Amino acid sequence: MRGRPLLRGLRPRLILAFGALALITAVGTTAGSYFEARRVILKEVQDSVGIRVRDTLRELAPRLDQPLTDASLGLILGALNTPAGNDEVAVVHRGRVLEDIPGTVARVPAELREEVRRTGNLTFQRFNRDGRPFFAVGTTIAITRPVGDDIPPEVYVVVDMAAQQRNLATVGTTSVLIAAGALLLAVGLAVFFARQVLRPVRDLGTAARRMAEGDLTARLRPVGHDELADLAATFNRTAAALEDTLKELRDRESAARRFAADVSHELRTPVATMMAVADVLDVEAARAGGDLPVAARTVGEEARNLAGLVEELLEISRFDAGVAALTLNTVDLADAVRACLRTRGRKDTVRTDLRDGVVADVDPRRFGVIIGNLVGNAFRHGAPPVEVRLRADGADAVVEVADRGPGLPEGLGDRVFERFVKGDAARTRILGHSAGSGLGLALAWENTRLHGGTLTAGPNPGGGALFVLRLPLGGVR
Amino acid sequence: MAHVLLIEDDPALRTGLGMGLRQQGHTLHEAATGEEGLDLLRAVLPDIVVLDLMLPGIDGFEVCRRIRAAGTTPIVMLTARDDDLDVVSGLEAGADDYVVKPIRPRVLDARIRAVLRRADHTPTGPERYGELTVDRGALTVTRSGEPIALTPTELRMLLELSRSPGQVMSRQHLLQAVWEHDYLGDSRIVDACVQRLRAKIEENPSQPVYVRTVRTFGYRFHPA
Repeated sequence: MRGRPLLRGLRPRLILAFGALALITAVGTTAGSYFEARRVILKEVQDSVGIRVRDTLRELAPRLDQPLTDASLGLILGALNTPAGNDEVAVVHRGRVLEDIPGTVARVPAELREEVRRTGNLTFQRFNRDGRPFFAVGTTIAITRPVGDDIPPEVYVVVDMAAQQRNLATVGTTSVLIAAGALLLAVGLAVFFARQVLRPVRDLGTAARRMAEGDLTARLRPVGHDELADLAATFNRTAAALEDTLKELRDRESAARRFAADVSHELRTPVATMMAVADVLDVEAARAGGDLPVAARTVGEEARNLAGLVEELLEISRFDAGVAALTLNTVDLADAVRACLRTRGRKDTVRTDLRDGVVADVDPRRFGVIIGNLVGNAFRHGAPPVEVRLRADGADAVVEVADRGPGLPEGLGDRVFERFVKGDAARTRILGHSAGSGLGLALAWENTRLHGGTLTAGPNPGGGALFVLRLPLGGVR
Repeated sequence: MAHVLLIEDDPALRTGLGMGLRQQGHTLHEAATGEEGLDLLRAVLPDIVVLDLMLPGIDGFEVCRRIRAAGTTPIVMLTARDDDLDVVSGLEAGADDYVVKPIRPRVLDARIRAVLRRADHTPTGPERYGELTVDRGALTVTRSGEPIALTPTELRMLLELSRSPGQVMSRQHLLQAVWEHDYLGDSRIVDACVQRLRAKIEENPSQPVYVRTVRTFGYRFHPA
C-alpha cells in the first residue's frame, strides 16, 4: 500500500461501495416510511374529523328548527366538538358567527371558506399558524330543506395537529437514527468483510513481494475453497516449482564449480612440476641448436600460463566457496602500487600519479592482485599510455587505472567483471603472451568486494577505458 | 653454493625442483618424508632446508619444530596459496621464509640466497645494551656473556633493529631489509620472527624489554 493515493486501494473502495449502498438503502427506506407514516397519520385525522362532522350533522338534522334558529345553531356548535373539547368549532349562518373560541372563523383559511361556500362539500385543508400545524374541515349543512332563499349554514372544525406533528417528528428522528445505525453497521461490516475478503489478496501481495526480493520459500496458507484459495494454491505451486528449479540450477552450478576446483587441484601438482622443469629446460635448451630453444621456451611459457590459470581458478573457487580470507596489513598504498608494478615488470611502462601517505588496512597480496590484474588488462585489451593514479577521498582510497585503447566494448558494462568475458573477442592469442586467463578482472572484482570496496569500469574522458577502485581506508567496513 | 636439503613428498615435483636448484649451482639432498629428512639433516648438516608443509607421516610443522629444536639451520617452507593458516603456523613453527606454489626454481633460489645471506658485518666493536652484547664484526650476540644461537634471519633482524636504537621501524621496512622481499609481502613473517627473537634474547618474552611493539606500525629497539 506504499504511496498509493487514498481511495485507490481495493479496501477503501470496497468500504466506500458498501457504505454508499447502505446509505442509499437507509435513506430510501427512511424517507419512504416517514412519508408513509405522515400520510397515514393525516388520513386518520382527516377521516376521523370528517366522519365525526358528517355523523354529528346527520344525527342532529331531525332536531333542528326550520328555518334555523340560534338555538339550533348552538346545538350544532355544542355537538361538533369532541367530548374533551380539543378542537375549535364554528358555525356561520346568514352573517351570524357562532364559535366556541373567538376568532376561529377568522383563522380558517380564506381558500377553504371560498371552497365550502362554492361547492358545499366536505372540504379539508392543512395550514400553519404561528408555526403550529392545523387541520381545518369545513362543510355546509345540506340537510335543511331550503325555505325561500335560505342559505345553508357553514360549519368549520379546526384541529390542532401539534400532537400528530410530534409523533411524526419522533417517527422521523427514529428513522434517521435507525438509518444512521444501519449505515454505521454497514460500514463496520464492510471494514470487516473487506479485511476478510482482502486478507488473502494482501497475503498474496506480501508473499509476491518476498519472492521478488529473492525469498523463494514464501508460501501462502490457502483458506477456504473460493477463487482466492485457488489463486493461493497456484501461487504456492509456482513458488515451489521456481524454488525447485533454482535449487537445481544452484546445485548444478555449485557442482560445476566444485568440478572446476577439483580439476584445478588435480592439475596443480603436475603443472607445478612442469613449471619447475621448464626453467631447467630453458637453460639447457639454450645451449642446443635448431628448434629446441624455441620449443623449450614455448613449453616453459605455456606451463607458466597454465600454472597461473590453475592458481586463478583455485583462487576464484575459494571465493565461490566463501573461504577467501583477508590478511590485513597497514600499508602505504603508494608503496604497494609501486611494489606491484615493480614485481610485474611494469615499473617503466606505466605512468603513475600516486599521492603519498594514503595509508590503508589492506591485504597486500590481494591488493597487488587487483592492481596487477587491472594494469595487465589495460595493456592486454587497452593501449599505452597506461596510467595509475592514487588519492584519498574521504574514508576511501581511490585508485584509477586508465588506458588509451579502444575503450570498453559497447554494452559490456560491468559484465567486464564476469568470468571469461573478454573485452575483444577477435583478439588473437600471441605466442608467449597469453591473452589473459579471462579471470583477471573477475578476481580483481572479488578481491575488491572482499575488502568491502567497489570496482567500476567506464570510459576514460580522454578516450580508452577507466577502472576505478575504491577501498575503505580503515579496513573492511 | 649451498647444501640444500629438499623435503618434498611428490616425486615429480621433487625431481623438478631438485634439477632446478642443481642447475642454479646448489648441492641437493632429497628426502620424501619428514623422518627421512630429519635423518638426512643429521647426516649431511645442510646449509638450508626447503620443506613442503604437506607431508605424509610427521607433517611439515613438526619437522620444522624439530629442526628448530636441533639448531639454527634456516628453513624455507613451500606452501600453497590457499593455505593461509599454514603460512602462519609454519612461521610460528620456526620457518624463516616461505615460497608459494607453483614454484619457479629461480624464485626459490633467490629466496634461498636471501635467507642465507650473511648480515653485513661492520667491525665497530661490540655494542652493549643492558645484558645484551651485539658484535657486528664477529656477528655474534651474547646475553650475560652466554652466546645466543640465532638463525641468519633472526640475526639480521636484531642487527637491523639495533642499528638505530629508539627508532621505530615499520614491518614493511623490515620485510625489505631482512628478507629482501621486494614486493609487499605478508608482514606476519616479521611478527613471527620477532616472536622467535624475543624468545631467545628477552628475559621474559611476554614482557619484552629490547624489542618493543609499536601498535599497528612496527617495532622499536630499546637499549634496555
